[in-house]
This record gives sequence, C-alpha cells and structure tokens, in this order.
Amino acid sequence: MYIMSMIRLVNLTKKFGKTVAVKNADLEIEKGEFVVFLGPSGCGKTTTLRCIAGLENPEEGEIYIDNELVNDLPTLDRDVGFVFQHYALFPHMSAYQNISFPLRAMKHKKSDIKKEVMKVAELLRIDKILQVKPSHLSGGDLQSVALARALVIKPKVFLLDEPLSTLDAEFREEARTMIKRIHMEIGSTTIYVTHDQMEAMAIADRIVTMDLGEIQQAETPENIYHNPINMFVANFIGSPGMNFVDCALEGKDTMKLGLDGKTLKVNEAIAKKIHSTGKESNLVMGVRPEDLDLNMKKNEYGFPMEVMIVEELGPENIINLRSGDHTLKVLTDPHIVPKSGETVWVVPDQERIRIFDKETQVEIL
Amino acid sequence: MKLDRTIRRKRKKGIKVLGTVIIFIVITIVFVAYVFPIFWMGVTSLKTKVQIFDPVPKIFFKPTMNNYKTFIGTAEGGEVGAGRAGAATSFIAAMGRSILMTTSVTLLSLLLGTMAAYVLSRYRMPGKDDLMFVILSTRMLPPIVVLVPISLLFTNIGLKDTYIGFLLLYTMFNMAFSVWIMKSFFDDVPFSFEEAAMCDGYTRLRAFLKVVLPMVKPGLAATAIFCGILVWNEFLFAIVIGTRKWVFMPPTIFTMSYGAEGIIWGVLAASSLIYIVPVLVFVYLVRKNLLRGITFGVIRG
Repeated sequence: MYIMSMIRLVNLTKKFGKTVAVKNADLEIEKGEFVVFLGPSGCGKTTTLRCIAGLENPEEGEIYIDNELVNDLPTLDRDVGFVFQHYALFPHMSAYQNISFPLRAMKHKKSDIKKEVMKVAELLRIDKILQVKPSHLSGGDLQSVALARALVIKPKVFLLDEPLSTLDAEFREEARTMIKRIHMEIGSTTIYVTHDQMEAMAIADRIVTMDLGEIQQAETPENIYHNPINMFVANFIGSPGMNFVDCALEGKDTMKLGLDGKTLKVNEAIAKKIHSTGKESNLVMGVRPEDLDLNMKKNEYGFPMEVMIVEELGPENIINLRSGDHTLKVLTDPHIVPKSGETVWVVPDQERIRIFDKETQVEIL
Repeated sequence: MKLDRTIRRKRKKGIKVLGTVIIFIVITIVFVAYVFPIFWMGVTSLKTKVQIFDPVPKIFFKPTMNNYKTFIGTAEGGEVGAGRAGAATSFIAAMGRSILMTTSVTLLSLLLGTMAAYVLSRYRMPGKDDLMFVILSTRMLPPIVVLVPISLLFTNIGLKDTYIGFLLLYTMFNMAFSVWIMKSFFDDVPFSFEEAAMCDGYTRLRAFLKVVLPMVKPGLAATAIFCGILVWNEFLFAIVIGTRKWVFMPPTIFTMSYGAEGIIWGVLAASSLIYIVPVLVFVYLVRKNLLRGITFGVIRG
C-alpha cells in the first residue's frame, strides 16, 4: 500500500557557524527499514534528521531519497512526514483539522480528505477525539494526532524527532509499542531520533549511534550490543554501560590490570589474538556487567574487589565494586546479595571480553 | 468542638462575603471614575445653554435635541459658529474622511508592520537589533518638533492637504508601534509550526498565511486598535496640514464649537459623543481577539 523508498547520505556535513553539527556522514537506509539515530544530546542526530527533511541546508554532501538527489528540493516537495519533539500541532485547529491539514494543501476533495483522516485516525485509535482542540488533549493523544498528521499523506519517509521525550514514563512504553505496530502495519521507511538507548534497542531494525557529529556505528541492536566498534558505543549502549579497565598483556597468559597492579589470567586463545594484533600494552578491557561473575573464593581467572553498594532492582541486582578509585558494575541474579565491605572475586566470561586500543578507543578484539 | 467549627465556618463565610463587597465597591468606584465624564458629556449634550450654566445642576431637566440638530442642519436659533452655513455638511463630510483615513492607515500599518515584523522575527540578518532601535527611534521625538519641517516639506512636494500625504504621514507614525508589537507576537510562535506546515506540503508563504497569521490574531487586534485610535484622535497635523480638502473630525469639532461668545458647550458635548461612537463599536467588535492566551501556550512541554 505504501510506496517504499531508500535514503542515502553521502559525506553529509552541516555546520552552525564554527561548530560542526554533522561531520562527513555516510549512510544508506533500505526500503521499509526502521532506523534509530541514537546518541547523547548535541551529537547531531536531530540535525541529520532535519537535513533529510530539508529543514536545514547542509554545507557539503548529498542526500538522496528514492535515488533522487534532493539537496535543492524544498521540504514540501520531498514527501516526508515529520513528527516534531513538541508535536507542533496548530493550536487554532481541532485534531481533525490538524490531521487534514497536509491533505488540504493538495486540494483534495472534501469527501476524500474525510476518508483518509478517518482511516489514519482508526489506525491510531483517535477517532473519538477528532473534534477536540490540542489544548484540551492529553500528552498521549497529542502524540497520536501528531503521528496521524505526518502519516496521512503516506509519505515516502517517516521522520520522528524524539517523539516520546515529552511523554510521562507510563505512556512511553505504550506509545513505543504503538509506533512499532504502525511501522509493521504500513511498512514505511522510518527514521527515529532518540537519546534513550533502551528505546532504540526495543524498536530499531538498525541503530545508528552518533557522537560529536560523527556516525560511530550503524548495526542491528544485537550486533551493536555485542560487537561495539569503540568504547563510546560500548558505554552508551546497555544499562548499565560496559565496564572498562586499563590493561596490558604480560608474559604468555597474564593481563596486568589498571587496578592497583592486580592481574588476571586469560585463556591462551585470547592471549594469542592480542599477540597477533602487535599491540600488547596501552589497552582497555571491556566487559558488560552481565558478563562478570562473582565468586566468594579465590579464583585464578578472576581478581578481588571490595563490595561498595548493592542495588536490588527486582529481576536483577547491580553490585557496585571498588578497588582504589576504580569502580565496576556487575549485574547478577537477585539472590546474590553480598554484604558491603566484603571482598569478592570477579570472574569475567572470557568469551565476552572485548579489547580496545586506549588511544584510539577503537575495538581491536 | 462542633459549635466551634460552625462558628469558624460562619466567620469564614463572613470574610468571603466581606471580600466580595469590597471588590464590588472598588470596581464601582473605578467604573464611575471612568464613565462619569462620558455620562456628563451625554447629559450636557442634551441641555440648552442656560441649563448648562445653571449654578445648581438639575437632575431632572427637559432634554433638547437642538445640539444634535446642528449636525443635520436644522438647529433652531443657531448660535454663532455652530449655526454658520455648511456646518452640518462639513461635520458629516469630516466624519467620512476620518473613517476613511483611519481605516486606510490601519490596514496599511498592519500590512507593512506585519510583514516587517515577520522578517525581523524569523530571518537572521546583520544589524537586526540596530534596525529595531532605529524603527523605535522614530517615536522618540514629540511629533510637534517635526510639525513645521514636515508641513514645509509637504507644501514643497505637493503632499499638503492630500489623501496620500496623510496616509504616508500617519502610517509612518504607526510603523514603530506595529512592528514592535507584531514582532513580539511572532517571537512567541515557535518556528516549528512553519516547519511542520512545510513538511505538510505548504510553501513558506502559505504556512505564514494558514498557520502563523491566525495564531497572532490577538496581536493584529491590539495593533489595529492602537493604530486606529492614534489616527482617529490626531489633531496637530490634521489642523496644520489638512487646511481645505482633507479636514478631519478633531479640527472640525474644534471650529464648530467655537463661537463669537466662546465655547459652545452643548455642541462640543454632542459632537464629542458622536465622535467616540465609532471607536467604541470597533473595540467592541474586536474585543474577543484581544484576549491573548486563548491560542497561546499550547505547545506542550
């Protein structure tokens, strides 16, 4: 039913005065794909989205929508649906008038407009509030009306700029599921901007992580979680983020850790791999909190740390460990509740250890 | 205990009633202070000369319509000045001219002011703040300072006593006001509304007309009222520049109410009363749009 399309960014660069908001972004988005731009605030994710919509003019690079170069095409001719962070619903119009607004631009027949509006209103389950003005609508309904207004023209590309950030926590998950459901029903190519990694993991076909205006990694949620390309991605994805410990390989199978000179025995396979990269010192070891095991007894494949705080979350516990100034977070089963002050042995899952170059922060293993 | 509570409740109720009474009294005082002059004008306009100068004003008197008849040219025993030939036609003609000029200037000021304010509000340009200051500075001199130069200038370039001359002059007076007011209203409308409209397939111009303009209606109403009243009440330039063809209401009332024996109070009161009617009607018509806040603050955060 919906015309699928493809977006291609080539060397996209956008500056605001001297600050570079987006730097040499290259990206391809397939038809019908649900892509999430993820990153901390100010990383250029919204700017990239606005460039695609034509709300910003990039200094360099090319933007293709459906294999057509759209750099010089004004927004209204790009056939995009845009949902703004603060909805931008017109306060002097009812929900119905807001949703029909894009259709009225094209001078459709009144009966056709009504049909289209009703169709999209039913899809979003807002057919009962169509005569209400935005000032009398709840946050969730405003959200739905904004989505409906963007969807009603069946755009080639559907762009959402942090659409859930102004919702209360309780509506958020509901709205998230709704957006995913709509995407599955109409299959439009969607780009969704957020700074919430959980949200991104939950709905994306592919996550594009951005930092300081640069695209870091564009991968499926699973790949990006297990094979982060660098320390930024490793830390940003996952809650809590990945643990990092400075390390260097010593001898055949011993890692010297940046934890007051503690050491860790690693299996030969890993040691060999590190050898083969030609870089043995100035490394950073990264382990996800759930890939660390706690042992009460001494373990040669582990290292001792002091328990600081135990956060009991219900389905799991977060154990905060300390050694000198350095802290680690470990995710454990809820029945593991060590006392604070106790010394425990931390045993990483050898298969899941990631090694990064300390200078470039890039993953080398 | 229970008794105590009822007493307290009664006292509370008493305080509430007292508060309402005080508010009512204050409102009444303010209302009387504002309306009394108009009331007095109305009463005076219905009196004869003798009744007006009665040292003890009577509450009940026999009203006369004679003062109003001046304007339709059937006044009896016309007093000097008011009764002079053509007073009636000149008054009605002046009213027509005043209405025409006020409407033209208000529309032109709104049009130019809105366009200028939108650009100043939305586009980045060098020296924007200085430009805003220059626009405001046109209102920093009392108009009387430029009266003679403008009068001479208008005589020299043939704009004196013409429609175009007054239109330009009064619009110039109003521009600072309309630009500043409209800019503040545009500044309150987030740009994302236009962006949303453009994503919906509208051009910038249509987005402005369909989305932004309806949202600044209160600003348009306020600007229209202030611009309109300024032109309607303008006396100084009207009497100096509008000597023959373009004579407006204020100078006409002035000349009509001056007789050989001094001010003809009855005619002055009657003409002044007629004079304020169009303004009252206009403000009454746009009063709903003045209520800011109906359309503002709905961008949810």
